[in-house]
Parts: sequence; C-alpha cells; structure tokens
Amino acid sequence: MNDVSRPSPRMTAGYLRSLAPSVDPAWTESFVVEQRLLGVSGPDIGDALATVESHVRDSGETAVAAFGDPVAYARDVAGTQARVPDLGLTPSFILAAVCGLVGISLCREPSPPGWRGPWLTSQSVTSGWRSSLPC
Amino acid sequence: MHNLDVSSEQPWPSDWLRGALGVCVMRVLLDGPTYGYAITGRLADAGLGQVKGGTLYPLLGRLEQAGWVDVEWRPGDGGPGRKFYVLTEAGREETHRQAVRWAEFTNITRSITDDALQAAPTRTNTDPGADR
Repeated sequence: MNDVSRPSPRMTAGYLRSLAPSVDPAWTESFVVEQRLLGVSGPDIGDALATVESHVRDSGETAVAAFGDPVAYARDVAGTQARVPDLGLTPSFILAAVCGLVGISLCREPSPPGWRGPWLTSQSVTSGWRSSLPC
Repeated sequence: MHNLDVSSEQPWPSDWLRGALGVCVMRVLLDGPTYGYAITGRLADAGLGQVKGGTLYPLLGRLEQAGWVDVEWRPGDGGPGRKFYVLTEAGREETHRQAVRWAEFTNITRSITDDALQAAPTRTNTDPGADR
C-alpha cells in the first residue's frame, strides 16, 4: 500500500547521490533543476548526468573543477539535448477545444420538430446518446 | 593582451583552442572509438593542454547532432560504464575535409607570422614617455 504522506524520492539527496555517487549532490541538484527548467527530457538529463559521473570518476576531479558552474553547464549541454514537447495552451488550441465542446452540447439538444440535419436525424443522435447512459 | 596569458595547466590562449578543438577531437576519433576522458588525455599528451569536461562534452554533443559522431554506452569495471564516441562515415569525411582546411589556414597564418620568429624586436627608446 502506498504511503501518500511520504515525499517523492526524486530530488532527495540520497536519490541524486545514487545517480551520480562521485559528484557533489549539491552540484547534481543544481544541474538537474536547471535542465528540468529548460525542458530537457528525463532520459537526456540522466544521460548527461551519467556522463559527468563517468568523467569525474575517471579524472578524479570534482564536478566544479571539470565542468564549472552546474547551471552554466546545464545550459551549455541543453543546446544538443531533446526537449519535452511544449504542451502550453495556444489560442488556436483553446478555440478548437471550445468549438468541440459547443458541437457536443448542440448534438445533445433535441432538434426542433421537423428539422432534419444534413447528416443525422435528431432521433438517431438522441437514441445514441441515451444508449450510452446506464439505466 | 590579457587573453594571451598562459598557465601551466592551460598553455594556449582559449581563443586559439576554441578554433582548433573541433578538428583535433575529430582527429583523435579517427583512430577509433574512445571516451571523453581518454580524448582529454590524448590532447594533453599532444601538448594542447588540459581540456575540461565542460568544454569537451558540449562539443561532442554538437558533433553528434551534426551526424558526424555516434555514441554508445559500454559497461565499465564495477562502475556505471563509459560513453564511447565513434565517427560516422560522414564524420570521417568531415574530419579529412577540416584537416585539409586547417592546414591551409595555418599555412596562411604562418606565412604572415613566421617573419617575427627571426629575432626578438629590439626596444627602441624613441618614445620620450616610454620609461615613465
């Protein structure tokens, strides 16, 4: 059973240390946060962090000595990394969504007596809608 | 002339390194797949100085993005492994092209600067304010 009161293990010092045990956790956290803010995908953040870990372990240098400021380095490598698609609400997206909702609500209303739409009769729409409701 | 200051760790001006590093890294990769720290070792042994990871990996990322380099993670001894870089066929052709261009460029710059190798300039003391 999940304990919802516990904080997510992500971004805790222990979790970050497990990703890059040879790297100063504060450097790692700053790097990851900046990459997240830049919209870099999770797999690419992990790949970049593993590259830092590998280099620091091989060279014996600190992350600061080898890569400098974590925020600046996060911005440098972000230029060649995949980004998470932007799901922001653009005006055209909102307009399309509103038109869709209006269309659905119109279909739910019974048509005026004698009106026969170009594609569907009022009966066929109503019966189709009602058939989807529980008895 | 501040940017011509050199240190024991970095013997060349950073402006010069910025121009030469790409073709030099690609030349190292021409010898076969290798990983970042090994590339820095090769460059240091050749006399180019200690190239930092913060400079090398963004460059390698750009080479990968250009389609000149492929990457592959290989398992290490008891560690998380190493990211190996290998030239693609297009990368090998580009390395040759850049090496040719770099040779032309350095020939030109040397044709300009080599005359200055003959002798250190003697200081002429014609400027009355020079010793102030």
